[in-house]
Amino acid sequence: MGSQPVEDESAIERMFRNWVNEYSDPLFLYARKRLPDEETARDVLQDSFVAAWRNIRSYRGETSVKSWLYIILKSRIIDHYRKTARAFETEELIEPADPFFDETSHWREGRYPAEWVVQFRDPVEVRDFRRVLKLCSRKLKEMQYAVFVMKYLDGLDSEEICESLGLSVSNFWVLMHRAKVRLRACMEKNWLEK
Amino acid sequence: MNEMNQSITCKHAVGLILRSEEHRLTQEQQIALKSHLKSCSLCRTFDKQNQDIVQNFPHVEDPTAVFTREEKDEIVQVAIRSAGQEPGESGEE
Repeated sequence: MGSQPVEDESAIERMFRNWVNEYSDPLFLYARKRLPDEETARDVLQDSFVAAWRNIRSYRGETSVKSWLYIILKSRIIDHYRKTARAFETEELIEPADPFFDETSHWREGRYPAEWVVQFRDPVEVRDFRRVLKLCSRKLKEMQYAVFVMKYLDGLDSEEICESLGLSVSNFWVLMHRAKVRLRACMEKNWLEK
Repeated sequence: MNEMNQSITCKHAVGLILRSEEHRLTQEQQIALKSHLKSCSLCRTFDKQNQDIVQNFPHVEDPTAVFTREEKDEIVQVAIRSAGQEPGESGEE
């Protein structure tokens, strides 16, 4: 479907409609996993289809439709985070006292990491653990979530992420540090209280 | 308890734990981290739990929301309206 250039207007629109019907769900799921909330994911997906429609005549079938749409979506997700990263670079580094470490940079009393027990051989417990992990990851701040997802879902390293988002290396590690410490604390609270 | 007689702080150790995932530690940093972890049970706990988190995150289940027929029609209509009725040839992507 849709792998050949089509000139007729109604045929082009029909082809586009078929693409939306076939690929909007998997594209949305891809975006939803990588963006902080459902509304943002919907907006970015819609922008991607606007770009796809705008460029549909330049699509010559060199790659599959699916790959072409994913390329557009991925670039829109990166654009979204690049904008957020610019704000982060100027604003977010100024943070009040570290809630997890004291003035000597040791774990703050009351925030000591407590051990948790997870039976990773038990599929039910693993599913529960991942459900709590999903819940806690969604509570991260937007840029913390972005670097976390790019690293652990997409398998990029710090240099690749910094280059994609226009982040400095030092700010990347600040974000990752905060993301990990917050995520761990949230996991501890929700796992031990479950 | 939080040992205070280490050569690096807990916050520094956490930073090194994160960088060690990318094998970016110098030999001195590796030694400092190893020594810190040997004496600090809190950072050992963090280290272990960090591994639980990063190993499981890629397997977090997908959301299951799907678009209705009407929502898909809306996506098509908005795309066509936003980009102008005629598909262009800007070659943007």
